[in-house]
Amino acid sequence: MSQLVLDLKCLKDKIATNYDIHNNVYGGNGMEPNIIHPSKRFRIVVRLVDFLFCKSDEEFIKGFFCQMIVRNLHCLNSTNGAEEMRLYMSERLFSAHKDDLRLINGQVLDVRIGVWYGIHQSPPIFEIIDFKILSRNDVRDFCEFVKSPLGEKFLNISNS
Amino acid sequence: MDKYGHIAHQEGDVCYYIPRLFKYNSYYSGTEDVRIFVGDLKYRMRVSLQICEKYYDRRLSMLFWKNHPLQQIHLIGCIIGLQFKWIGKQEYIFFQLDDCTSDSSLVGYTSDMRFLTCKVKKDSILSWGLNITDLIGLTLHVYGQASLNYQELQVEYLRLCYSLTEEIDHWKITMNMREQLDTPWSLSDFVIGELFTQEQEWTPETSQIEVVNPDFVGIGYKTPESKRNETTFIEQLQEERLKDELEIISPYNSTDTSNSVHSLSFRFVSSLKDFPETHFLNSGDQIDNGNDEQLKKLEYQSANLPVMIPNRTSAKSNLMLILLGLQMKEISNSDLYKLKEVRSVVTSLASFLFQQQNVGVMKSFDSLEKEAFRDLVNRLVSQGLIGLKDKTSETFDLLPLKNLFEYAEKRISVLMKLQCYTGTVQLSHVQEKLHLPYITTNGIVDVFKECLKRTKKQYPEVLKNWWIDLDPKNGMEDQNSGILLHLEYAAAYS
Repeated sequence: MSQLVLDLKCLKDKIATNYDIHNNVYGGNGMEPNIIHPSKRFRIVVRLVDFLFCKSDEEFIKGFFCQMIVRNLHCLNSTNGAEEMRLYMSERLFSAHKDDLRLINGQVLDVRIGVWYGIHQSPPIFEIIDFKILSRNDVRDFCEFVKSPLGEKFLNISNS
Repeated sequence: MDKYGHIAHQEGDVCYYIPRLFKYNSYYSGTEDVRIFVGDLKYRMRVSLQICEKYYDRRLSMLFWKNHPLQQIHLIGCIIGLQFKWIGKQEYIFFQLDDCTSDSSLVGYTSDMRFLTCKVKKDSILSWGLNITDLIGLTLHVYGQASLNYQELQVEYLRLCYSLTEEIDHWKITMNMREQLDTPWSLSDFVIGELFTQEQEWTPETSQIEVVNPDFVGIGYKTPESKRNETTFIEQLQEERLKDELEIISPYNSTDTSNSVHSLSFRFVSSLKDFPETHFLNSGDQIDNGNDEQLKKLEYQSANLPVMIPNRTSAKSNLMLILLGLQMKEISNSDLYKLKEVRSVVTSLASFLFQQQNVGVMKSFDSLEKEAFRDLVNRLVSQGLIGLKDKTSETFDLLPLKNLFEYAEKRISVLMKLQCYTGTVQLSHVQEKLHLPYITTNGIVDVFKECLKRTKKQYPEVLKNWWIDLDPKNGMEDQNSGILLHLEYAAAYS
């Protein structure tokens, strides 16, 4: 399952905690780790800031086409409204949406993310699996729902 | 499991009912759109395996939420992966469904454990207007039934979910449904009563129940003949008992010719017959027990007198006293009947007469009252105590009674002053002196009796006792007939 997350900073903290645990445990023994770390999936509703195209000289991001820079929705995060995040994107996914005229800066997106833990000592990679462009009605209903008591319960179920 | 009870198993306060009763659950019968999260479904599928194994002896494969049996369920989720697979001669698509919820009690590392696996025929997807190559990433409404053995969903229908708003509505409905399903299902007494009193044979509903062993349903849940007959027999016993009670309660049933009714009636009459005898004996205070001759006369009279004499006599005495109390000299029949005192005397006499009646011929109480009143008045008239003005009118003359009573008072007063022990009253003398040609000896006796009673009550320290001797020529009245008064005085006075 994927977890529904509202705050990008919260998302980063979750991944950082997991990464440190795995890194410290196996780094402390001095042994070469030879395990596959579990992947994580998340679902976020964010605002599109911009696209950055990747430089081809970095080895660990070989195969990714670009990065999508996203930001928290102000209506959901009064303290972390300016929190941003960079999400890697494959060329296939970019090609599928590049001609969509609605895909402009400032658009609110429903993004599904996969977090991959790479080789030893490498930082985790956030990849966009899929995303959808949300309408104004969708955004309004979503904000109302997550603020209601029923929405809080659902978020607890999703992140339990 | 009790094969004849409606409960397959009870766990604390929660009852797991037999599959025959599942149709009474609104979530099972399809009247409710059962919405569910992927996480809850995966948890309930694992729990339901244990329920079907322990409580239903593996004869059943059914999804349970607590004790609610669930058939078709409804989810919304995103397809995050799929694979094609041939099973037999049919090609199936297995896709993973994600709705952002998970089975929190389970931690797994493989994709199959975290997402819901859904099984659907490839041909069905095409018939629902979906494109196979574009399934990944779609958010869909998924309808189907749970397969416990494979822990996956058998898809029956798919349709697109077009907006996040639609998905949010699903979340809201499902949150509320979670609370409803957490309340255990309990059947109402009406349903249970209606079910076990049905006469028609029960037929198994194999189309609705996924039964592992079909033979079990046909054998185990059929009501045996002996049990049904036994119930009918008990009802017959209760009905007969009720009839017996009715017969005991209603002894006056005219159609019933049993001896108990006649016996009761006889006892009733007999008990009433004893009453006036006792009353008659108790009213003997006017007789001096020392006089054996007088006592013999009394015994002779009691042998001939009717049983009803004491009550009629007392009623007549009461009526005389009422008439003496009236200030008027005459009164009409209807006015006399309306007097409250007269009514009470007449009613008490009528009650006595009512009980005297035979069970066969019964007169109404009103007619008995009129009859009693007429009888009392006629007795006074025949004794000459009250007179009729004329034959046609219904007005009574009270002067004979009043004059005679006044005369009696004077005579008794003189006798007491002179301390006479006896006094004689002659019929001819009274008739001439008071100008009462129709007065009779019986009338004179009655008036003197009442006067003596009153005098004794007024002067108990003077008059101790009294009695009246009738003329030895019993029954024959002539000019020389009369009565003899005997007075006994208190010792202090004499």
